[in-house]
Amino acid sequence: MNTEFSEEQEQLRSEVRRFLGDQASLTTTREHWDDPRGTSDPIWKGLVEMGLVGLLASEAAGGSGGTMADMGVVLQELGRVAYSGPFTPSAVGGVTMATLLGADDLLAPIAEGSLIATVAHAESQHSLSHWSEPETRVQDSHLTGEKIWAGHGEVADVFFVTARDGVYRVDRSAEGVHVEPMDTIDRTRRPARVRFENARCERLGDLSVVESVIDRLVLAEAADSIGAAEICLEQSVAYAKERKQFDQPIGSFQAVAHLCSDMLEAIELSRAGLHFALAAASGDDADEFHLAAVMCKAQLGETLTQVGADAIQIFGGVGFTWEYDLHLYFRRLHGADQMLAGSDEWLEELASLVI
Amino acid sequence: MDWTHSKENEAFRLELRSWLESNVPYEVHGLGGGLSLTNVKVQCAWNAQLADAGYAAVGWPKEYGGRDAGPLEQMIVLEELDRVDAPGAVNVIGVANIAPSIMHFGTDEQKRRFLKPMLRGDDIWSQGFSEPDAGSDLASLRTTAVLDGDHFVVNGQKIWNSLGTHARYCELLVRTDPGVSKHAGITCLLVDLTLPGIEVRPIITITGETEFAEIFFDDARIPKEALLGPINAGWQVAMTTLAYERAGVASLHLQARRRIRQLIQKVGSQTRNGRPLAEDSVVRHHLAKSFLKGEHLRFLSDRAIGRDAAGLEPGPEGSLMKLAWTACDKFTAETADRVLGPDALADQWGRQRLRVQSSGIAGGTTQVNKNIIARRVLGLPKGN
Repeated sequence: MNTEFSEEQEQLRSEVRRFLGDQASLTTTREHWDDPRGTSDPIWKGLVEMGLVGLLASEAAGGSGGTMADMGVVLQELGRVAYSGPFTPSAVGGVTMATLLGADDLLAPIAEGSLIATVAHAESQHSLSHWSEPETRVQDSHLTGEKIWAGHGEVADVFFVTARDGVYRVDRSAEGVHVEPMDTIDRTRRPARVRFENARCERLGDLSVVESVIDRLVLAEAADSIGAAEICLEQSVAYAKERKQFDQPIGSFQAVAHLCSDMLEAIELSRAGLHFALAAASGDDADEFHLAAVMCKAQLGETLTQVGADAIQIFGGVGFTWEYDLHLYFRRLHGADQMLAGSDEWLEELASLVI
Repeated sequence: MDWTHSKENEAFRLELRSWLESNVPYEVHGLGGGLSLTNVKVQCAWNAQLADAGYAAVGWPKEYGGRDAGPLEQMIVLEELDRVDAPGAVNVIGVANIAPSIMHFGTDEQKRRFLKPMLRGDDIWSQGFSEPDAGSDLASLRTTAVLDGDHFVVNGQKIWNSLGTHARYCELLVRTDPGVSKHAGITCLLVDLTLPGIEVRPIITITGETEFAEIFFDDARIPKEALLGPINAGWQVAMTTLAYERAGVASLHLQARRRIRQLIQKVGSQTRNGRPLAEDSVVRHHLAKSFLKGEHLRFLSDRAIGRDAAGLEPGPEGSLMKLAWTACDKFTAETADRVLGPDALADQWGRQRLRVQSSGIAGGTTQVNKNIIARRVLGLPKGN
């Protein structure tokens, strides 16, 4: 039994943290606030060159053949800097879709970062997650439907679109593809509304892969959120040690200390669940993995979003300013909660598995 | 990362499982979980059976009747006992907390006399730590012991003694030097509770049960041989929880999850307004939240044990277990309230509704635990 990341994975963490520390500080996220890509070229290139965009792709396809646990390490680090580039949609959603569907012609370019992919699955009139049947339809290799919450949809070159009878590829350049950014408070992600009007498509496979893809995307959000929540706690503790009121550090007041303890409890419970799910992702029990992923997503919304709010509370007035970084994490945590449906819907999915 | 056990440990699990299947007596089913004794005779007989087969405290050294087993095997024993809904050793605190002090500081005579009967449940042990004015601030305890020839003369009162009404022996903390700082003047004695001058009175708790006692000492003369470790070193002696029974934390989630499963099962058999209760979306929401808390408690516990087994420094998981368990236990009781209606106040659910009011108090209050985590884990400063 091994509940922890390996030495190699910790090594990977140090490398990613060093790279992001040099290149992709929060300043970058702020600088790219209005940029649909949300990243500078050197950072994206760096992530590609370090083999991270292709981490989950097989070596035969030009990837690194890594596990979901390896990916978990990377995503925690990206969460710590609230990285706003198209990493998760392409490196997790795109790579997993292309792998499971055997779309080798797409896998290699996605893995080497030259093609940005995203999963277009959620629809507004339906539950956002994988247990609802898409309304989107295909006729004579042309697809019609409207998708929401397609991550980084504005800059995606290719969409993996779920329709009534299967998963289809639609290129951004195809006629009848209309992409419009969704205006949410989470500017560190770039969800988009995508309208397909009789857009040319290519069938890649049936819907059986969707659950597995969504479960991996869910884990990605959970790992990212742990990173974001960690920073919230680290900054809160540092601030509570330094900031004085009534002639003493505010961290010496039990009300503040207990809030910090609550934040730690929320993070460590969620982290433990994430570790279990990352292990299950490489195990051979598909039902256990699905259950673990569902719990990760429900837990995220139940506990980690509160950590972002608690951090702002501990900072007081300055926590509510644009200048301080906490709002970036608050936004990111709430974005993670709502991506692929909010926690109530995931709790219902959990109920359907265990009641 | 891999949450599965090694082949050797799985073999150990199967061996234990088959032993349990052919040995667990019918009468012990359902007596597991918790520190109280509902059927002393049956539980002690079962305890002796477990001990003789080497399963009562697998983490103990072989010379004392254990198996030198690591934390993962200890965890497997707890899981398998839970699987057949059977209790483990009667002396939960004795095996995990008192025995290590005796093994480390005891004389050969003390080890010979006390350890095996404790392990078999032949002698029941209680801890005499808390006092009416020394709860969270344990080191301010005031029960005194004065050396008079071959005896310590003990005066004072202890409270919240688990198993106190059944106990033959007590690991007692007394003040032997009032002139030094509060942690420095404490001594540990292994006291025979049948001696004159000692009176054990049951405490009737809000559930109506007597799982705790008060112990009164009135010029009780305790033979000098009762001394465990050096005089005035009682604090260090009592805090010695050597690495013998390290997976005990797992029993928290096993109990909590058993209760959640029972609640889900009970809901499954009920209807409301002619419809199955389990189809009500609000009920499903509450049950799913309970389940989520129970499973995360398990993951946290697994990580604490997993890190230990891997020889890593303990993370914050251990300190957080008590808090997370309290939250889960209370939430499950609240969930029962919400989903069962009046049935939540009857039978085991009613008892549990009352019992959870102690989960944020016993073994360290929630507030003190949060102070400890804030200071020791997060490094926040102490107040003026």
